[in-house]
Amino acid sequence: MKRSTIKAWFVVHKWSSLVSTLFLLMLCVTGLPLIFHDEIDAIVGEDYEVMLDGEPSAEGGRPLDRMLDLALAERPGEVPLFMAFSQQSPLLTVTTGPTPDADGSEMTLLFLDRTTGEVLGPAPSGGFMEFVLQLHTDMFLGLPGMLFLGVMGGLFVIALVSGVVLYAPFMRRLPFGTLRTSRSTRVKTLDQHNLLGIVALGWTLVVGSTGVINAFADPLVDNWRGGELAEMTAQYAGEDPLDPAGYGSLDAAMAAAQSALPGRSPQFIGFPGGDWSSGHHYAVFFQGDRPLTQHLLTPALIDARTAELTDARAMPPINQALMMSKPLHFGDYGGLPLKLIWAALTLATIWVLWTGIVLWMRRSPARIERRIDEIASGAARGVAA
Amino acid sequence: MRSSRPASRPARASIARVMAIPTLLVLGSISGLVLGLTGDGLPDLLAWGLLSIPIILSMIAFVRRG
Repeated sequence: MKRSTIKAWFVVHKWSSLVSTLFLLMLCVTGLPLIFHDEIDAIVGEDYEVMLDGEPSAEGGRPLDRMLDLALAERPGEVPLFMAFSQQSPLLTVTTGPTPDADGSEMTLLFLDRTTGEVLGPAPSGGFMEFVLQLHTDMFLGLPGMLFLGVMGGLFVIALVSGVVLYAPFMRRLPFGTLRTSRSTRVKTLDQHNLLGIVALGWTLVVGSTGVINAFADPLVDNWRGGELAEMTAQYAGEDPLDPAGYGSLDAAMAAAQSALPGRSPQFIGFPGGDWSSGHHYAVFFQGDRPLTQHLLTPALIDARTAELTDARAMPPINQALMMSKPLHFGDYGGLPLKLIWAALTLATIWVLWTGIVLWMRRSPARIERRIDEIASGAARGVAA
Repeated sequence: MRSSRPASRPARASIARVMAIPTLLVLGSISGLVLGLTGDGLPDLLAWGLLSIPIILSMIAFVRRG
């Protein structure tokens, strides 16, 4: 590689890292407790999944219409927006709001037990974990905050790629895993930066890029609703949105949906007029029937008045990528050992970010030229930098 | 005596050689991440094993440093 090419990559690595590094540190620090949110919820007694005993709410229990009536009785004057099922416990959640197209901030999430038909009360909210999650997702800035963090994630991926481009020539005279300690502090810091950066690379690439996809979740859902969903429900296009008073039986709708997509487990129902449905349908979202496709949701659109199937179709590839990217970002699919690995690699990433800042702070213009020479010729044990 | 080059300076390895271990690590990590999604039990064990390699390698490097 030519010296000028290396210099260009050096500049890319420096600036993509510098701009994003403080946000990435925040994402790593807030991400650490989020890895263990199930365990933390269990400690503070908010994990209903393990507290409730009985048939999973996705499989059966009291009729859905009865559960919905119970939930609406708790929130007089409100309309249902979502009903979500658990694959592990009788926990059933119902989201309500003042109008069918209510904003997230106006929604109320209620917990119910589908086996006993008991209302457990509103979902715990406002706690430490919710604060951490909000900071991690959008820094309390809503969609602009999410998109901004998505851009920072994109810069992180650029920093990773440019880092590898610089790593290759730099390491040509050093065996893999070299950590020189007898040289200057800078060499020591640089070697740690390089080693941890390269060993964690596969994981950081995946968690970084899936984080970017997740940041665009809201626009991707809007895109599906305005595109494929509109096409599937084209015959209703001219009609006014269905009034909540005209909603028909949920149990009949679920039966129709399950006969359209047999053998699958429902994850949630999007009610008419919300982000996840048309103005006239119950959108029943089913999980895939194999472990690998479990995160890929397929909606069956059921006319909310007549409980007849309108259409059931897999979501577009970009939305499927979004659904597959969630577990790969959260690390919650392989038990506690995977979470511990996630935490260890997050700590390694924090150290890479921190050593990167330290290396940048100890810079001087003349030294930068020397660093580029060092990368171009390959660092060696005998050369003090 | 060749004083122009430090005696300890080894020859430059090819880029392919330098990147061999990193490439295997990246492929191993990504395989581990995807395998974990394919089911519980054995796939999870494989995922833990593959994703532990980067952590174990860096621990070895830190123990042997200097």
